[in-house]
Amino acid sequence: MTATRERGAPAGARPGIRRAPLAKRFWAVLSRNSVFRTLGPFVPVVALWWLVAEAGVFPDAFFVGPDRVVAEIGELLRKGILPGYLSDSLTRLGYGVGFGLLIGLPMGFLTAMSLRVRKAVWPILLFFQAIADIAWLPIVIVWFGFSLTSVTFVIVYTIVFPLMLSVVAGVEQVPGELIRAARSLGAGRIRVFVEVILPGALPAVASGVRTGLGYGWRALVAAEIIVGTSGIGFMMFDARRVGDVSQVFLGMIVLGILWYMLDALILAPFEKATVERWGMVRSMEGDG
Amino acid sequence: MTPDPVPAAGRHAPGGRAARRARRGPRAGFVGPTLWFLLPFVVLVAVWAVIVEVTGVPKRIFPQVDDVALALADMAASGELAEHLGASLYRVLMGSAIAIATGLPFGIALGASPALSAFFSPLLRFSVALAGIAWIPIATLWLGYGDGAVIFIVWNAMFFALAYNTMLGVRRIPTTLLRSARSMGASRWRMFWEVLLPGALPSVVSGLRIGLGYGWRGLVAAEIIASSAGLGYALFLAQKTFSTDVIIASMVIIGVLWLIMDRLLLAPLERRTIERWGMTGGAR
Amino acid sequence: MTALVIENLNKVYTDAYSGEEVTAIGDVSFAVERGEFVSVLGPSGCGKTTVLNTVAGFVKPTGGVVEVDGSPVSDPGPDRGVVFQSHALFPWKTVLGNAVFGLRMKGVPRAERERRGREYLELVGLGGFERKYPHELSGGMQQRLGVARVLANEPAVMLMDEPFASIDAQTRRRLQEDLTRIFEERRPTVFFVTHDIDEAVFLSDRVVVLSGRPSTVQEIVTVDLPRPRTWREAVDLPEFREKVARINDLLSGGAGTGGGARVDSDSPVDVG
Repeated sequence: MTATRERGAPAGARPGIRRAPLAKRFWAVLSRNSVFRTLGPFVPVVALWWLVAEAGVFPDAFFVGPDRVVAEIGELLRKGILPGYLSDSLTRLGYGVGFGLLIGLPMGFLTAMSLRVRKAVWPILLFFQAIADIAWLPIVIVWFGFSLTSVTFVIVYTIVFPLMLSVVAGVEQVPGELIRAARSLGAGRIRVFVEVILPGALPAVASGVRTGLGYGWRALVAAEIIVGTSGIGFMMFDARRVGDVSQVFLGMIVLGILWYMLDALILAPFEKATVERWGMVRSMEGDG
Repeated sequence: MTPDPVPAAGRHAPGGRAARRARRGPRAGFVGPTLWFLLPFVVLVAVWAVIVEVTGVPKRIFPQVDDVALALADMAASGELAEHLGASLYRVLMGSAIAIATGLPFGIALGASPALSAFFSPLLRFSVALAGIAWIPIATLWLGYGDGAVIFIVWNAMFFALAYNTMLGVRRIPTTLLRSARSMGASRWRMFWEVLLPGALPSVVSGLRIGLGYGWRGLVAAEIIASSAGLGYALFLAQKTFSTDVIIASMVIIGVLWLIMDRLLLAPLERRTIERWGMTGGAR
Repeated sequence: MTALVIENLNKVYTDAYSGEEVTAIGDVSFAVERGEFVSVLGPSGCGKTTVLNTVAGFVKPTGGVVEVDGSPVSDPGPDRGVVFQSHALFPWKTVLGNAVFGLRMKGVPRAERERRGREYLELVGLGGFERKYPHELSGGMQQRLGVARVLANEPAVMLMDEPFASIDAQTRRRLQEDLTRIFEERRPTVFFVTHDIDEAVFLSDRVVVLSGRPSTVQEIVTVDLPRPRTWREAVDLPEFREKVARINDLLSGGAGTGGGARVDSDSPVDVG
């Protein structure tokens, strides 16, 4: 094969291949960088935000620019308010999730393993899941007052039901053949459960945890607003009351970042190490 | 495992008891399964009644079954129920309608361009994380209390989830399908209606379902916080007066409503679009 | 020594839908000697997989006797290892993990079971792939793992349910030759279900040909082709062609009723 020298090809280049223009290469390298991929899209949005704020399209009372928000973050950090609220919110979420998992997982598997129990309990699960977790706040407030317990209760509730539902669904979809294979290799009941059903249901359970967390997260914000003692949700609502828009914006951004981190630092790596490594398909990731 | 003699949908159809049960087809009749579905609730209500009787819990803390039933009847009779129900449903309808009208085209437009969707994907995900309740403070700031804010929250919750899932759905359409359509001379408009939209449909419906899930919760929360009508407001008011019977009655209504919306509307819709077109909406 | 005895096996299903009774297996009897390779062939719907499932213990017969190594069969167990068509490998275990699963169930200590696992992996040609996950393997390799997994357990009978049906033709040929080589080396007792006549003749010592529903044993064709066997040589042997033709005749002549009501082939094995 005759090596034709292409224009732009440095001497000694392989025939038929030449280097792309600098700009293209730059983008190619950049778009492979995962940091760029995650943070990049936010740059134009922030820029647009800043522009809109500068242009004064909306009155100051309604809309603030990123510079104000950043300044506000600094303020709150300095005063120690932000870390305080943050830790309050996170603690509640932590407790809620912890208890939610503790209750939901075993109950879910217990329900899933017995056909009779499953049939009996399934409609009830569906119904309780249908009563929007937020709707429990009023009665919980009657029972426990405007307290931390109320908030935690609601979060636990929020997580338990989607979790149980997805555990049951997950167990159901474990291919019967895998169970047969295990049994014909000598596994008894318990072994089948531990070695086949648990890992087999894992993708669905992980997805259920994610969904539950998504709901729990939102319930936390709503509960903090309504119960109104501390936390990011409370901070936002209180700020709105005094007309401090930058704090409201700030709260939303913090919430978004928190969720992102939760997802990227806990949920995603967990799925990577299990579901993806095993080549099992995840269910749709469109549930935030 | 050889499915013969069962003419299963595909020789190597995925296993699992649920799949096999589904393959058997719908049981004849609607009445039977409904009754079976309701049975656990009958038991639950009975247990509830007994426990309250036995423990002698004060009405203020936990009402008896008949208290709640009475409260429900009262609300219905006085027209309160209709009023609250109407307000909530109106807002859900408005919010969803606007969300579909805006989110669907947006999602498809994003999905149709690989560069755009790759770029905006993290942004959309971020927004989905915030969708709905987190916007309540700012919504009440911008739109004050009332219908506007609530509808905004419902719209917000649904818009992002729908757009994101639609985008994903379009991206998942096999390239071969797109290519064959284009090589048969499909115009932009045609592509949209005849290829992208139907192709993304399972994801769209899933997105609708997820979005409505968030939207419904957003609705209740927004009504508790920022409104003077609607089911959420009814809850709020009842809590202020410690009328636990009204609270529970309202909760039951909320639960039943969502059940109807989700199980009788959305889930079958999801199943039908997936089954009818023989596509998988996502590994479930 | 007789490894597997099937006597007057009969299985009747009641259709979940229409309440009709469907006879999946009419009256099947045959035996498999230790170290023999026996294939079971038959028209669609003749219940050959059901026979396998009965021996495996996934399905309880309505009538008849199934004995392995002299004891009657009831539940699934490691003495009857099954190689599934869809391989049924555990996606969350490595190749080695899958291979030693049965040994682990038996309580074989780690060092020993890993040694045996590796040995069998080598045997099926998967040496070096121990750390991979099943989804990283090709279809053919996955099926090899399925075989290794069962062999490592050293079962009395290895039951194979159309294991190569979903593999591409080229790979299938190779796998058949590999299976024969392994068989000739180790002489396990194999019960092989297939619908591919060539495959059955190439692999087996005897071929049990079933009739259509309600199925009975039409004939048991002895294949006394010399071993070791390769495809290259086999296709040229007149005896090979003769046996294939014979079975073909049996199948087309003895085509049963086929079709019929849907049958609920769910096994009663409920883990819950």
